[in-house]
Amino acid sequence: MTFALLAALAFQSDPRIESVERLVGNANRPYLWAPLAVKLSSAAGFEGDLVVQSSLGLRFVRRVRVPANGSERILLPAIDPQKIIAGGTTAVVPGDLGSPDLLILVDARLPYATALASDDRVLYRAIDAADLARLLSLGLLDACDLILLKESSGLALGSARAWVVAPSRAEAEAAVSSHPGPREPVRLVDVDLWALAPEAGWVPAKKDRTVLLVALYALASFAGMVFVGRTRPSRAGAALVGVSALGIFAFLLFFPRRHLWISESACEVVPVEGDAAAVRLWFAGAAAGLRPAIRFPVIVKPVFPRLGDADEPLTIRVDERGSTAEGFALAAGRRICFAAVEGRTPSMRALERVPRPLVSASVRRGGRLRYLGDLEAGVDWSAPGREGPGPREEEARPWSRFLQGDAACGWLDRSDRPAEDVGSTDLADGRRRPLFFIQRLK
Amino acid sequence: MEDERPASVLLYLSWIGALCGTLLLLLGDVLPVRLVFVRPETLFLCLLEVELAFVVFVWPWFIPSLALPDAPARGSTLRLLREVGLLVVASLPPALIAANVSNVEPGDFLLAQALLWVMGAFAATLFSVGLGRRWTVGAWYLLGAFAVSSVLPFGAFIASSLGVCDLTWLARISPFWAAERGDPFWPVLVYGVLAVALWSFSPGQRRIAA
Repeated sequence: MTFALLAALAFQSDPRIESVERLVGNANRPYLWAPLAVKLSSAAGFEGDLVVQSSLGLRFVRRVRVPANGSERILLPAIDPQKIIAGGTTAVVPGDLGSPDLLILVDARLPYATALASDDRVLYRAIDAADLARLLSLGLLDACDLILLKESSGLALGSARAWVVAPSRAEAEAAVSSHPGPREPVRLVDVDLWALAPEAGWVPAKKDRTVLLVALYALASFAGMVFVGRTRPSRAGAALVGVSALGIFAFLLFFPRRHLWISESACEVVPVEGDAAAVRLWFAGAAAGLRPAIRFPVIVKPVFPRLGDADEPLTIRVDERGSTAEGFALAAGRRICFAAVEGRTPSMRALERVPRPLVSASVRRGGRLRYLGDLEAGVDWSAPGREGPGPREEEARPWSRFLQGDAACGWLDRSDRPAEDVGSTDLADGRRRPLFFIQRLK
Repeated sequence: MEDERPASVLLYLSWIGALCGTLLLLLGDVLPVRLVFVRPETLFLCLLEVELAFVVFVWPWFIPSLALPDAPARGSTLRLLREVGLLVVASLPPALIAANVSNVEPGDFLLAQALLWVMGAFAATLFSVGLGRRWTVGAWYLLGAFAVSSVLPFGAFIASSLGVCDLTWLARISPFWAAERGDPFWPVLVYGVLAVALWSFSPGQRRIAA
């Protein structure tokens, strides 16, 4: 396979794909990110799309520019990559993949980074510090079970599933053998998270606005008819036309005429120290058949309820400000989900007490779950409650995979808010559901 | 607008009540069961079928009280046609909303409105001519409307299911069937031509008996 790749690379036209590198190593994790570093050179200069084609219908595309007689090293998100396409040039992604139990990324600055020996169970992969920082900031390291770091400062470690600063090899080996296990990743096919999907079909804002406008129209018509009918019945027709004109005017002014809805559900997982991980899911659907382009503030991956759905074409176009999902069809009543995990400053850190109000809070210690209800700011986790799950258990269950050990959880808001950082020219209704908050307690 | 009667107000109220009430019932989640046929893509069709049902079966009941007793039959017909036009205009706000929800193309929307108007105009012309010539139209009209609306599509369905013959061409003149198929061209043509033919037979100067 490697020979075939080298042979293929040797006979390329302009631009040339000099090398393709799997940044998280040759581990077979087809539902998780497998970011690539592609070195591209060009004699005449190249400006165009660099495309990563996966084994499914998924393509990741990045617009690149290579100066004449120059070269560029480009980081690309990918999931189960098979082929790289740049202009008329195609290269096969190396595919000699193992299936280790643990994939451990090692900061290349560590003195023992290249000395760690991989085996069938554990795959160590040294990574350049700059690449590591970039991939962490993009949230593309969900395939890695553990990251061994020289230092943690300046890194967006919230997106890492597990990390440890291990200046010496002994500390690294101790961390590998004793680590409790990484946070659960969000996979390309993830049926559990689909429990959070809103009902398909109706655009909520359109349905609500239809009921409102139709009720107002009926009310106005009845009022107009009763008033005119009692005073000047001969003007009833004119009154009807007038009310109808008002109704049309109200439709043009106040009715959302586009067809796409997007609903964001998010969970923030706050560790005892360090950055929080924000798991963000965007569900989108349409009441009518559409081919929308949806703009996201981060790089997203699709999440399907069934593997068969992943075969349909879908393009994620990546740029410096996020990504755009396009090239897919949303039939009436069909839903699609996109996910991203990003590291960020926690909304609050609530190890002892909650600095902000928490709705429908629960706490789990020693495997026992206690429902505390709505908590005011300043209340601690020993507040009176009752044993067992809360009334919103069904809603919380998809997030419970991120609880891991002793933890407290609840919702930071009571009601939906407008989704401000996603967009589409077809968007009729974008909303963000209340943020689910998880505080790890140890 | 001379000699308006409260019947027109009652007609308008019934019309608005039927349309808005239908949408509120379908979308307001007030029924104890979920209506599986009500989906975004079928909302416009649901509304159109209710509009057609009103125009075909309810609107004719208002015609005798709306026809001008002292006017020539053609003058009375014109007034009835104007009333049908007013009904279509009054239905525009809910129809536009439903069409947007169902993502109906403008051409299909206009054809649906034309179907409504033509069905109303056909009934108006038929009753107006019947009143002018002192024919008993009502019972025969209802029987015919029932046959065309349901017997023909049902017969076509049975014939097609049994593999006897293809009677779909016959079912196409049912306005309900045509609306459901999204192809109201034939009913618009057939009932439009019939309305014009009836109009040409209407007694121009004869006055309608009160």
